[in-house]
Amino acid sequence: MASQNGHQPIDITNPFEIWRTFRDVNIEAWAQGTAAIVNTEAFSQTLGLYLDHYLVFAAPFQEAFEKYQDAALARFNLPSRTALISLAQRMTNMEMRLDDMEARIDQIVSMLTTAVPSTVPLPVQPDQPHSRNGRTAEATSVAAWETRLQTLDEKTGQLLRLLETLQMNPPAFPHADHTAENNTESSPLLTD
Amino acid sequence: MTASPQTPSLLNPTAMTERLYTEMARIYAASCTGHQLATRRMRPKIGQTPKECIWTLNKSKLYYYYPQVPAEQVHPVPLLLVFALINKPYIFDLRPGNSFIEFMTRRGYRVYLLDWGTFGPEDAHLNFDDFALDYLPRAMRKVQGHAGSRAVSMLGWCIGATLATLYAAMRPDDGLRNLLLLTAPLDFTDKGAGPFNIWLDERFFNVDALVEHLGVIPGDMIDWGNKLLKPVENFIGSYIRLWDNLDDPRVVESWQAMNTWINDPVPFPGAAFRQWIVEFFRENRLMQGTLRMHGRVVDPANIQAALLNIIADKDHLVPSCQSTSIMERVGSRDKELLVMPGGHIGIMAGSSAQKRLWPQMDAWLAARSD
Repeated sequence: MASQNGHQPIDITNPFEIWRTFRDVNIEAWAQGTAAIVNTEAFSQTLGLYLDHYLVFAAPFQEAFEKYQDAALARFNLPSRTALISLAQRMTNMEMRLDDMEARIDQIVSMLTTAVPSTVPLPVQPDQPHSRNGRTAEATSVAAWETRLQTLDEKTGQLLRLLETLQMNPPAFPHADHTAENNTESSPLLTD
Repeated sequence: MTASPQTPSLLNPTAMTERLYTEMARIYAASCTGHQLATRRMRPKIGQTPKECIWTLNKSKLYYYYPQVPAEQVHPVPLLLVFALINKPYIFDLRPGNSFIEFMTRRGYRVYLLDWGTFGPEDAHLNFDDFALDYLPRAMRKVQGHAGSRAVSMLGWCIGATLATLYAAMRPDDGLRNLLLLTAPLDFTDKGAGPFNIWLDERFFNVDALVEHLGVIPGDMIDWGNKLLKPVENFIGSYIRLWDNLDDPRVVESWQAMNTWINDPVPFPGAAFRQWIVEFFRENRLMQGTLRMHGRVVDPANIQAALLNIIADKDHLVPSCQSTSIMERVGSRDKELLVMPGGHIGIMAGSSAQKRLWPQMDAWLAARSD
């Protein structure tokens, strides 16, 4: 459109080009007019009123719907929207902790020499009671998920504190000549 | 009456018939393409540059793009791209032949792209503090570890540039060497600059009620607001331009890729939206020196990284006055302001970007990436 607006001479013998030029000039004028309108207080007021009305009418319906939905889900022993949101938020928090742990482990590993074997025993997973359909019996209720998440959360926190202690007081390994200070490749930890 | 070759076509039946046939053929070809578009049988090839996801956190993902040059030509300092919160970041890698990421990987950069992801109701509490001081530092740390370089360049676009500025001001010792800001909305002193300032005025816009009701602001609502700035161009002009060029596959492909991106918005977390409207737009806290994040004042004077601030002279979303004043406030000694002809998106993703803006960005960055 823009390339045809007065930059090129119009071929007045071509009716299609005349039509396009006419159309583009009109749209351009229309665009300028609307751009001026949307930049006024009256338009802003109209938008605000529209939004206020939407909120006034929609909010009570949404509230009622959510109450009904929560009651129905609870009756079927299904997690509510609020419960799922809470779980998702906690998962994110744990992801952040794990991310910090990964960074600290990276730093510790870079401090140790490659000759040092790993002597840290892996934790043994206790057997989980299983239901007939193969899923854990505990996993069938949201409350149990909450408990398990909380336990996992606490364990992650403990691990993180352990790693912090280890980082502050690194074990004296033979040939361990790398220190946190001279390790320029490692990035700083998130300690605001 | 016999028409001579010099007779104007309006009076020349043969010439008129030829033109009519040409126009009819064009309309037919356009209709076929239009039908394919309407029935979604034509899919745009977007985000085609090979990549690898190297880190995730919540919905956010960090992608790594391999440099497309021999190892000895690879710049040691990697480049991290940060886009806005309201659209998807594949605008950086729009389509083969018109992709900033493709361009930069061919110039020897190890490019990393931070994709904020699509936020859900569980992310309604996330705000700028979280993005600038929790997510970005972690992404930065991952880039440093993956690239094996403490020095990193960061390019922020639109609200992504605001986030990059906040990060650079709050964590100047993290290893950020170069900061590129692209159409950065930072200074909202001029209340007459653009309709957003009037629309979002507290007399008309009740942001608290909206956030309380919705939690997460739907992407379509944000998209509508942006399009309403230029309603005729966005709702009519764009489609007329397509109709006029439906017989040109290159134009159709380009239009379709851009249109796919424009109509693919993401929800804006409510807390961040409220903070954006109140603390940035209305109260201009960043420039007033009263913006606090995690309890600390954000001072742009802390920014020490080399700064390239790019402004689009026809930007209707972020008027240039919102981006220029940061130059006087930063602590960087190496700083440059680059004003480019074009609009908010066009300067970076338009067909002429690879001849105009990208080479300039590459030249500036290459001199500071070894």
